[in-house]
Amino acid sequence: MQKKPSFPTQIIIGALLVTTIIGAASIWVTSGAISTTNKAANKVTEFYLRELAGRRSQMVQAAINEEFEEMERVLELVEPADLVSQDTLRSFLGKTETAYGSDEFAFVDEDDVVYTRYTTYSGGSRYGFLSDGTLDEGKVISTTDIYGASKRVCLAVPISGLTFLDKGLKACFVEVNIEEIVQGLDFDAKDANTSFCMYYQNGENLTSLDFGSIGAGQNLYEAMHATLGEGEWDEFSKSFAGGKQGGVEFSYNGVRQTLYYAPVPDTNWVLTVLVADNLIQDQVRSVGSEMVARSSVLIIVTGLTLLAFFVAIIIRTRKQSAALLEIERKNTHDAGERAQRSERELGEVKQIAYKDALTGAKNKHAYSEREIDLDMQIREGTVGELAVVVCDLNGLKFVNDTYGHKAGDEYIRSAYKLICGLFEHDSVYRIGGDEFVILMQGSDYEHRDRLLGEFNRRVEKNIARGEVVIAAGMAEREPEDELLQATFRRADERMYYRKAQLKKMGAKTRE
Amino acid sequence: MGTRKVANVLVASLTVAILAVGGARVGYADERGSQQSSYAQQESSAVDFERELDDYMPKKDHYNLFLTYKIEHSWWDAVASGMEDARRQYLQNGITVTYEYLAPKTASAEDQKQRLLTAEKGPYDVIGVDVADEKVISPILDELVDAGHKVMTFSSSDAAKGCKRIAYVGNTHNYEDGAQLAEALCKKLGYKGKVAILVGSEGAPCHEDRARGAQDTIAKYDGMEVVEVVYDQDSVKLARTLTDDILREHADLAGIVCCNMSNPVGAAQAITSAKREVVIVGMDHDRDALRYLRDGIIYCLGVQDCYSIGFDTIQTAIKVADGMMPGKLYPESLEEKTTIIYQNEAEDMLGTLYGVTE
Repeated sequence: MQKKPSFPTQIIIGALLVTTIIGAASIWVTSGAISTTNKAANKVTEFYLRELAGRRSQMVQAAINEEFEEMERVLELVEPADLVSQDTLRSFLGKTETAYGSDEFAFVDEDDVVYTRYTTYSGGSRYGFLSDGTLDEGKVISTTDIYGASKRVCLAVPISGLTFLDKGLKACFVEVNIEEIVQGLDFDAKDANTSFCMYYQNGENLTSLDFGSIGAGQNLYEAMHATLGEGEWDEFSKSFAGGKQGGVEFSYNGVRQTLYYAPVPDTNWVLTVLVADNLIQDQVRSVGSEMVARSSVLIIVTGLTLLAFFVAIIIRTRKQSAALLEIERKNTHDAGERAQRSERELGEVKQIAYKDALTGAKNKHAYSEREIDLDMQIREGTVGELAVVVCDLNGLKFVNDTYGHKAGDEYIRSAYKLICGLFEHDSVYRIGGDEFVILMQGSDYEHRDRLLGEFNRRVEKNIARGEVVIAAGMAEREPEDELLQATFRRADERMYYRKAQLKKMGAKTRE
Repeated sequence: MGTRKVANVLVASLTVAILAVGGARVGYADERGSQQSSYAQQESSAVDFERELDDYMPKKDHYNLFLTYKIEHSWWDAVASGMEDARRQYLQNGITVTYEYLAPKTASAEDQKQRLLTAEKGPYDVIGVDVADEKVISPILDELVDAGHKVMTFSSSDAAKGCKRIAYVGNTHNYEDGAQLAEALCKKLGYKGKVAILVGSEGAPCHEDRARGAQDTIAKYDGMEVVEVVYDQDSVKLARTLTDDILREHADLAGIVCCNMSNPVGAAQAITSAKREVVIVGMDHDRDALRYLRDGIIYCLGVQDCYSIGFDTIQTAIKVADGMMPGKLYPESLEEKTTIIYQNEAEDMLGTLYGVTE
């Protein structure tokens, strides 16, 4: 049989189960909250980057437009006297540079000779816009490679009507430090996780600045090709080269990052913003960690509370159980005593009810109850082998009449003693004044003939001695005997036959 | 100078020096691995962007220079970057240097002569010339000197021997450059095959000297033959056209020696288009040429330190303007180095010179 766990074990298991359920529920709720927060953070990131890139792109455009406006103002200031000689022109350029803070303002003549404050040089090979015809279309935004890994952004404006040293001036331009502009874009994003840069639409870096973890000299397409899947890269490259605004997430050197790009209007440049995901994700993770920590505390406190609660219940229950056990034990003890007493009393009553007062044998009432039991067993077919011996005392009337009732009583006791000397004491019933019945079962039944023979021999000896004489007739229960009475009758008949035999042997009778 | 620039210089220095072999001033690398042992002898980089003015104290606070060169070309724009840095450094020291730095769109000794004759009338402290044709220009320079002008030469072409110019700053080993490029080509071809030479501008000393050096070197080997010597006038387009013609003419052409900055690009374009296996060796640092070198179309390039040429030209011009003569203060001929680089160094050179790793 399987052993049941003890009550305290059940309590502890219950506490652990409740704690586990609460813990699992907390984790489920927390992870759901973190997931939702992550999704929200991603949307915020996208919105943030789109706004950041878009606004910065507009700022670059505004800075460029400001430069163009400045050039227009300078052109309005040029006087014929400024265009007399190299000295006068350089003096004019010096004044404008001082006034506008520009140190790269230049005029270009029809032979592509460039005039600046300090130098005059052939610019045809240096500035592509001077010879590729783009000036014919108006303002030009152009970049040029400078030997030694730097690039210059040139903002040029075509001009007419001005001559210098008999050559027509065809343009003026300024060289803009694009790196200063790009570096100035992070004025409100000064953290290590946000980078700005400027690329051509062909992916070449316009600056000599590293873009996050992407080296300054590395083509953006190639850098992204190494991180994106083929499909993603195709989509990105088409969007980037097509002058569209967009974003892409990727992992570079093990850092998850988001790149957002926005074309700078009127140029073939693309402003790029790179945010390491940990900028925002760290915030999300910290929120998540805090939630997990709080949930953990909740789980622990709940668990401890439940444990304490159940321990208190265990202690209280054990105390109550002990008290109840003591009461029960006391009650049980008293009840036992009462039961014993009742049983004893009942036994005593039964003794009185079922016993013959003279001999101590079972009486007629006991025999009747036994007869009912046996009849029921006969009906049910459960009765075993059974024999009935009917005994009748010879000469009791003679003794009573001759020696008095006291001697008669003694004569009866002697008869009972003689019967019990051979037959099972418990199976002997006194059913009348001089009549006994023996119900033989078990061992007595097996030895019934021997026992009866011995009984009869002792009786026959008593005849000569003048002692108690008992006529006994025995009958075995036959299968057709549906009642004990049937067996009794046959035994009774045989008893009478015996009685006659004993009379012949000299035993006294009533007659 | 930015950290990036410094890093690029260091990288270039290391990679170039590893492959450097060579003569007194010219570093030549060998593809077979002898570069490592030569490195210890060649401490400088291909291009030195970390230049600072020397201790010389100029006598005036303003100098005005006239500088003219062969042809509008990005090679001289590179030289100009060194000049600009020197000018800025002088300005930071309170000395204003102004200059004109002019060239025709097409190489022309006559054009240069006219410019010099015009400059003779100008208020210049020094007239500097990158000689377009030494036979034409050297006499003009002598006349200018005789007229009291302070004249110097610079860049890649000095005047003829005996010219009265005061000093020269630039490549003094053009012949050796051509010879070394040709030697590398011959070795690559197993000293056997037909070779064409794209010279550049006819009469330009630097181009002619390199071509002569190449021809003399090739002539040493019986199995080698120069089948064409043509002038591309320092034009990529013309170099491409000439190479196309040569390829059609010589189906068994094995190599091309390119003696200036433009013709390696034109030759590589033609070879790529024709899908021919021809070994190209050439000069200088054109971005496209470096790409072809990286991609294995060009075998090797001789890279000159244009930045230092420009920087030293301005420094020397100031001393010349002050009447200081060559000697202890500065050499009469200041040599600037050339470094031969191969395919494995192309990427770093692109990063160093153009800021790209493509």
